Amino acid sequence: MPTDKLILTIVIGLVTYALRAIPFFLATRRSSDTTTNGSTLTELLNLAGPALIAALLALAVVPAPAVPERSITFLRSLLALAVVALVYRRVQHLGLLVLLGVLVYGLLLVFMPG
Amino acid sequence: MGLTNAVKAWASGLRASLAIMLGYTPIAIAFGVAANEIGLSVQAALLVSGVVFAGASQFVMISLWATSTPALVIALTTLLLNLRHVLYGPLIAPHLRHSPGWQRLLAAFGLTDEAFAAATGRVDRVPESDRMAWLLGLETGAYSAWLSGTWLGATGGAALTTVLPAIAPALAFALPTLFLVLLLPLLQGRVLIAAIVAASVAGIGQFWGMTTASLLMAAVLGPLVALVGSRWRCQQTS
Repeated sequence: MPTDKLILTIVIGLVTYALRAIPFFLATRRSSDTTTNGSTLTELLNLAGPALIAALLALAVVPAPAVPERSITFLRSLLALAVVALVYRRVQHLGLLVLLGVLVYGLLLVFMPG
Repeated sequence: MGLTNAVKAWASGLRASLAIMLGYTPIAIAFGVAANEIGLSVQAALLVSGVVFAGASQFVMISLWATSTPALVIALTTLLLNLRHVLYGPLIAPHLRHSPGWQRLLAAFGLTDEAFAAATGRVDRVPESDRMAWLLGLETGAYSAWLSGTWLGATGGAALTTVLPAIAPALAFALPTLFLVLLLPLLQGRVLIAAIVAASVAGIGQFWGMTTASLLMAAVLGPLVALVGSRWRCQQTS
């Protein structure tokens, strides 16, 4: 690997790590220094976790503009997730449900080609 | 925490990472193949995956490399893409406040989107003294899958590109399924409102190609709307 690309890789790695580590470290110190239970900030932080998972789910399901045949891709994802959500009412095993999602999506790729 | 308990918790975290591994492997293989196609050696592809460990940024990085984009532009683009990671630490940190600083610095390296989601949904069920070992086990699984997938893609090359298009999209669907399964048990009361608002904001943003900005907006608007709504309802009923 050329030196300029090596340096760039290390810089990007360090920046990515800093974005993860600094807020993590500062927040741990703050949460052990102060007792903010019940405050508005604590309530917002408690809601932010599930909100972020929901947002990540939406990003994974809604195809980006560059994706070809966006509507069929979106429909396949919705159908597969609907099956998983229905089965979840009976089975709450994370591993099995993930495998089910993969299987149903794979079948939809075969039976609902773009 | 005893060593035996730590090892058990680490192994439990590793088991919990299986769904992430399933989803990461095909994406990492695709990255290895792409790196191979722009002329990166196997070692260079592994170095990028090992040092950066952030899927979308790695793809952007090598595609900009291929077009000879200036280094500063590549660095700024990946910085913007990874900006969302600043949100994860403060939400996980309160669960790990008794862990030593060096362990927190180590755990921060593996705090990807998927590790964050899996930890948010499940870390509360782990005894407090075992949580750090559990999280490190979860991240070890994810990191191993990412590195081994990259190696497979970079070494498999042309053979994989013919097989991969058929299976990769199905395997990669493990990640959205994982997000859904982690989210479902949390959906009640104002969490449900926060999730609906956040998903709508992120989905609309993604539709228009504003991925990172929409994620940051979703993280703020979802909780804010849910909290204001629940307080307004309390005032109406009292």
